[in-house]
Amino acid sequence: MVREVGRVEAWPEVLSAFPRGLAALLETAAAGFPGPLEEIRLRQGRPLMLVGAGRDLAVTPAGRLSSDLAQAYRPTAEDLGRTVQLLAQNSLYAWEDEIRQGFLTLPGGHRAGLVGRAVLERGEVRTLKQVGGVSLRLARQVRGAAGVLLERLARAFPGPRPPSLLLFSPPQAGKTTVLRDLVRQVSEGSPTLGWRGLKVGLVDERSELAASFGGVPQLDVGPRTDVLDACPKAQGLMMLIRSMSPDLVATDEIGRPEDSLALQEALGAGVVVAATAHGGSLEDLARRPALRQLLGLGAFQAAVLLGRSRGPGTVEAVWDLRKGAERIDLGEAAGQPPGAGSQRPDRPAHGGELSPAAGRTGGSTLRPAVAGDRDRLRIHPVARGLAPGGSRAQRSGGAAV
Amino acid sequence: MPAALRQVAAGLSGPAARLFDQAAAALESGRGITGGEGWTRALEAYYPASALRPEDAAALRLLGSSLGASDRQEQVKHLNLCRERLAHLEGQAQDHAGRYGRVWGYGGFLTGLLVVLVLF
Repeated sequence: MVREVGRVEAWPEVLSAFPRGLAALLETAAAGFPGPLEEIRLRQGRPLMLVGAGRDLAVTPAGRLSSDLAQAYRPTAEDLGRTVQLLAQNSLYAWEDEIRQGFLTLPGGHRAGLVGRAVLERGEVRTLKQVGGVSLRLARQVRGAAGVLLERLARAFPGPRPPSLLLFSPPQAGKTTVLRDLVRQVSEGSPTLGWRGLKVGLVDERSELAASFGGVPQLDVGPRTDVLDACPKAQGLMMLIRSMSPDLVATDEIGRPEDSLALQEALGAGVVVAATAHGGSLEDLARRPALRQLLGLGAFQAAVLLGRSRGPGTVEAVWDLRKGAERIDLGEAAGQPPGAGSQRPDRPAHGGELSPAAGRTGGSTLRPAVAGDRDRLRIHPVARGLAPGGSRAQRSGGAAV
Repeated sequence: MPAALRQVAAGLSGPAARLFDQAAAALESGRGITGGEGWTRALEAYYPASALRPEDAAALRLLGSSLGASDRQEQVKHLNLCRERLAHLEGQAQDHAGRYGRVWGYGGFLTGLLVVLVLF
């Protein structure tokens, strides 16, 4: 069963990250947004926008939604300045490392991307000043988001533990949401899948997976999960392996050379690895040196492509990497929605100039895609040493027949 | 910021502790209130009953506009500037023993705030 939690309860804390006037506009507008809200976009002097369900809509000065950008409220420099202060909980000095990387994470795991004028020191970014744009991505916990995936993996990889796997997708396709639920379910254990609860070590560099506050995860990552919060991935993986004897380690958005080395250490220690990476196909992954190395070493037994064909978190394809990237049949049942969830079901839609029903995608966005019979990659990226510039069809995970 | 203000308050006694506590409370209770607004609210509530001169209050008000709104390096710069300003005012108040004590006290608690911000 899929159940989306987190955003209804989290809405007040999201609004508290905005100055009062702006928060009032957003509250009114979001209530009428036609579908699950994913992002709030502020750009100085340009339209204030809400993003979700595959579309973006402008927010008018009256808090209404409009597809006419000319009607939009345009945030001022003061709006942006105050928003950044509030996002940092009035402690910008305590967020230097995060700001240097261009983001802040709010309690609840919501992530604010920042752009502005970079201040350099010895050629390195010291901080951002005059922030001119903020993109607040709303975190969500979707219980059951990894259910169908785990079921298929348990069938394809029989044994007491899940396989080491790499979840990949273009941005905003639900990687973090699926990984969080996978960690929770592996930590809890599943008699149906034949897995007892495992000790999980989670390196949450950007505080998005567990949304820890004061050292305690605010999102459910399972009873046997130990979280290293705001810790660099490579360092954190090594620390967890040495100190917490995990059965599985998990982390988000790998891709740097040091990540590759740390994951190799984990695998060498007999620890299962679950990680995510940006990429639209196995070929995309193989173009990145660190990931190419990991794939070449057989670090992962399974690769999972997520997408948005049925909304964020759709399992588009799964490959068995033990067999030279053989595509796993997701089965007929995979086309069935595992459940339904929606954002803020308790809130009546109002105030928008558009019908709240317009554009609604319909409940849970975490449905698996129907895949064909055992498809095989025409070109195995590791074995063939794929050169950059493959065809669009080759780059698309779904077209790799 | 609220935690830093509380920490400074805990290390003080008397009226100065109340100023920091009030600023922390303003930030904790209010939705959408910046550090500077919280500080200013607390200062305005505290100032009329205090021995602060208008110029003392102005120096502290000016500090509010930058409190929590920049990186560590900038925060230290603003706090040091405020300390220097208060030291200057202290010199002016040498002939008023009562006020001298108060002004000296503010210079002291700003050192406390600076240390907390640097260590946080």
